[in-house]
Amino acid sequence: MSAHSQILLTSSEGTEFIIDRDIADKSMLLKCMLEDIGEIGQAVPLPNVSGPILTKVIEYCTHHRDDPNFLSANDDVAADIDEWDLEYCKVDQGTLYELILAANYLDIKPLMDLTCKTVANMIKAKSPEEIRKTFNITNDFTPDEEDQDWVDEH
Amino acid sequence: MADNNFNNTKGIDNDIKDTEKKSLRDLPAEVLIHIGLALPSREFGRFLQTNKTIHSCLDSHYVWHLRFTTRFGQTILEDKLNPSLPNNSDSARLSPPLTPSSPRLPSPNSQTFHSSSNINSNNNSANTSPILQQQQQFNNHLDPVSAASSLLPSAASSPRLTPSAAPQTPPSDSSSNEGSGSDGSGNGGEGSSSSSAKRPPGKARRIDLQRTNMASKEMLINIYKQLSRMTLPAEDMMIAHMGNQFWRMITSSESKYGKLAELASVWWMDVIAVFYGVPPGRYKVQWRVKVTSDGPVVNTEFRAVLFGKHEDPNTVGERPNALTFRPTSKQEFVQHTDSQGSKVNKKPFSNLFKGFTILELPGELLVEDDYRGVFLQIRNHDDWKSGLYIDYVRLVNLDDPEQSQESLANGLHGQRVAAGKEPVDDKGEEYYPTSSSSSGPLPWFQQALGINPTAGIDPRNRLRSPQATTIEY
Repeated sequence: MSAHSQILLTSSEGTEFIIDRDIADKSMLLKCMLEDIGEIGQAVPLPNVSGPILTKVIEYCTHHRDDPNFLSANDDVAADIDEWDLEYCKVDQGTLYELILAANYLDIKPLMDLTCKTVANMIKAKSPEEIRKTFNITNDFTPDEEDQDWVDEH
Repeated sequence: MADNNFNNTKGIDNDIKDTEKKSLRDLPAEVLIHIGLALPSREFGRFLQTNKTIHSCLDSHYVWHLRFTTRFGQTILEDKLNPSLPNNSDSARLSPPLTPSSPRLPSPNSQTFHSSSNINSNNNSANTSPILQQQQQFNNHLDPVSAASSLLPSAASSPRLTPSAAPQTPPSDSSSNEGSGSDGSGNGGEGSSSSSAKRPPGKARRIDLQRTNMASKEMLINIYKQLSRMTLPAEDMMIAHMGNQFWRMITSSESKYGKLAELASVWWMDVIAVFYGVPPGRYKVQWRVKVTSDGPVVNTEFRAVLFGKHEDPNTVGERPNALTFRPTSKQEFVQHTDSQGSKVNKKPFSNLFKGFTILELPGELLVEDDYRGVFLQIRNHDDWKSGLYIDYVRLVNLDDPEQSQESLANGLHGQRVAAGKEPVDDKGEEYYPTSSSSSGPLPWFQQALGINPTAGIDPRNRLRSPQATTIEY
């Protein structure tokens, strides 16, 4: 299979996307699938990824198409985010969550690292209450639990 | 940076609509773990306090193990845990993991590793073997001359850097090391030098959690906190010939940590300080020293070398320096300190500095892309020298607006020193920071983990006793 062959993807709404094989290979899920079963000539359904999110994911993979370190980054969670990636992540929270889930589902580790790092940066310098407010997290600790001596999990 | 997107008023309404659909808490566990790995300890602790689901997902042994190895690698954890761990880099399988209660494991509250403080504490222990005591007397590396005449195997020109006693343990001593570890006194990790000697030099190893999964969560948290310090007192440095007539640790009120390394007289001067898991950024290296003669500083090399988090610091050796400073004159040395003295050439060192001074190495230490180790060394192997006191060494993060003020290059440091406001308070990253408010789940967390936020852990607290010797300068 040549690097210039194309793959057809279908989003959850049924929207079809045609991408080059080398871009599809940025997703470990797609890469392994295509290696196992070959190019089936039919669309690969992605029921967990909506059209707009798949568009964003393809945009990311296309930008990093020629990045030699794309798959070699293993645990460099401390690395700085470059400028393009910073702009890429300037989206609303819902979209950011969807991107995280899509990166997780498609197994695109660099995108996963980027989006999770973006969320981590939003958490920094915030108190627990501020974090709850920012991310709409419910405080489910009851007043009684705050006083109890919970030792079972410790 | 991304906060700006959410402070935008127009975006708030959209955010509310979007977040009604999904909350951070609803993300899968592996995603929450990924986010947690990217957080420093303080933010990680605060994140855990937001919600029970998040807490139960993230406050686990597995996640702390991941956090530790992501930042510091596994080498140092292996050395701490198991001195007899087989060091076969091709081996994918290990002996069955030990339970946290294994007598071979050091106590989670064991002394700081590679610390000369172990000399006093362990020499006082009735359970410490004579071999271990002998090792700890030369707590750190030996110079080749004295090593050749000693019973212990000679050290290489580069000092050994195992977190435990540096001199290599003869094979017959391994059982005594395990025996000393089995008393649970925290000395179990001290005999790891033999395993370190087998490690292929310079070869990076990937993380395999099976190697170190016997470390308890509490141990991981404690060691993480220790290793995250950006300031190392002299007590935690590795100094050749420490503990005899050449170098000694003395108690002093002039020290920010209560103890100084005092150089009486030595030929082979070699001081090493190692930082692990330094986050990416730009740093200045500062040594707080007191100098009373030319010998210890003129033609002495002050160097800094970077090493990978998966690498053994033993392999640093003669690697190219990231930073180096070798003053050829008193004047050159003074130029890089916070001294305000003039007429340098005519004044002796004792008159140049009013007590201690901060030496800041020229240039910036650049840590890129990932957490890395920083190996710092002061070495001069020519001629006898004396008159040097070392208090601490630290890395000043120039990317931190507050910390960068400590750099001499900013010109503010001298003012802060003169005002007595030089801040040195680095106990490592706090897991659950103290809160001014007693409400909320924080007290519960602290109680469950046995954390007493009001307990002083200032090292000087454990030194103060009626018999403590204090030398006033």
